[in-house]
Amino acid sequence: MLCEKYKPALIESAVAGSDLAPAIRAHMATCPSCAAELVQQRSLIAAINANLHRQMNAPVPAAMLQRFEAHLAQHPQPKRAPRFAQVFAGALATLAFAATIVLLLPRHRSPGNNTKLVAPQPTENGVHEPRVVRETPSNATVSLGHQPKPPSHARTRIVLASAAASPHPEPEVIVPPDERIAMEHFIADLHGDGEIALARAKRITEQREQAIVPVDAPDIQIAALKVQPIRQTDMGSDK
Amino acid sequence: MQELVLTQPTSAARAGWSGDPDAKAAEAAALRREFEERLAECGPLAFRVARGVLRNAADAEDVAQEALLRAYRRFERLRDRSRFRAWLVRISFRLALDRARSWNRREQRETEWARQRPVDTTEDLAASSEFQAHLNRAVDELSPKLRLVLLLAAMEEHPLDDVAQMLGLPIGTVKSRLFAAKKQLAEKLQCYVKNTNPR
Repeated sequence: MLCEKYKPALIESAVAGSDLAPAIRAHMATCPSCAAELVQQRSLIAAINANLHRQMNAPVPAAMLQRFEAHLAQHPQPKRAPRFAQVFAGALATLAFAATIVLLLPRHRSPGNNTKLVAPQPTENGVHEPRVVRETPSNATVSLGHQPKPPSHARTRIVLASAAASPHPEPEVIVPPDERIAMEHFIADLHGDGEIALARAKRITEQREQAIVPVDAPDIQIAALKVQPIRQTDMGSDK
Repeated sequence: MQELVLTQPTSAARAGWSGDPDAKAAEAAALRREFEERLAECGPLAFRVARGVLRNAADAEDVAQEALLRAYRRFERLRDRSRFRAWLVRISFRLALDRARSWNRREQRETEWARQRPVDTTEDLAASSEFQAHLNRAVDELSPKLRLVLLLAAMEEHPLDDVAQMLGLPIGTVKSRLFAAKKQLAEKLQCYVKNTNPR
């Protein structure tokens, strides 16, 4: 039982074919059991080596290569498959092309919060009314009537107001005539240009005065007034 | 030193792209000639590696044929032709391991009378002793990297430095793996040795 501690060293010595350590060798000189154990371990390793040697050096069938060459003659080398690198390069080029296309395409329009004033449309009495529309920043347009104005803002431009220049599909808000002056003041303040706002307000006032035309007509004389309720038929005919 | 035919995969590809049938045929013929020159040296090696795993000549030949065929089909893509031998050894070893595993799975399904592996040659019969069976089992339980070194080192014509070159390993690694493999075998066969060789 005491010699069991030497057993791993004996196995390792037998496997490596090396000499024992001096301490173990001294023990072996006095222990015939361990000496016999070493002989057995060496014979075991020799048996293992002999079996492996016999297995691994068995004669190769003589006709093996001839059979393979005959098989090879029936199966010529197939066409070369595309290499991984080539496939990868193709995929990369396709991705780059797709990315270029995506970057060059115009950006999708989304409704923004910018409220813009565009070309006013003429009404029946010739007065142009400004319209307030919602537009994207890139297409922002502000109209101040008939006079063009140079760009005063990075995202806005002033266009010549005309009746034909308003093909906007976006929803628009019609500004009532009473609020027109206030709207133009608002626009002028918006752009920091008060002179234009005053000029526009003066012109609209003149247009209003010109719309009042004196009419030559005989004086109307009212003899008597009679008050009576409105009948249903009169109401229908008024409509 | 073996004489090599100068054949580059890129030049073969250029011949194919250029559409010149003569140049393409010449490249294919040169490639095949180079492969056949290596076949005489490496064919037996593939067989022996497969036989070391399968321990059966007929199955080992099948595996060697398959390994050689795969090597031939991919020979054009092999950039470093000097590593053809190591490449073929690994292909053959892997194929033999796969076949041995499929055997094991099949054996679990089949009946007792069909479990005996085919014994084709007299050498196989001579090797089917009790000790051989125990040794084979112990070798099967080794890890693949230890097993491949053990099998290659057991071949006469392959000293340890050749095995190291074949596997692309330092010689010290090959020695340590060989030592570990044999030690594991010796430890697993201790009881068997005591029974057959009583003190």
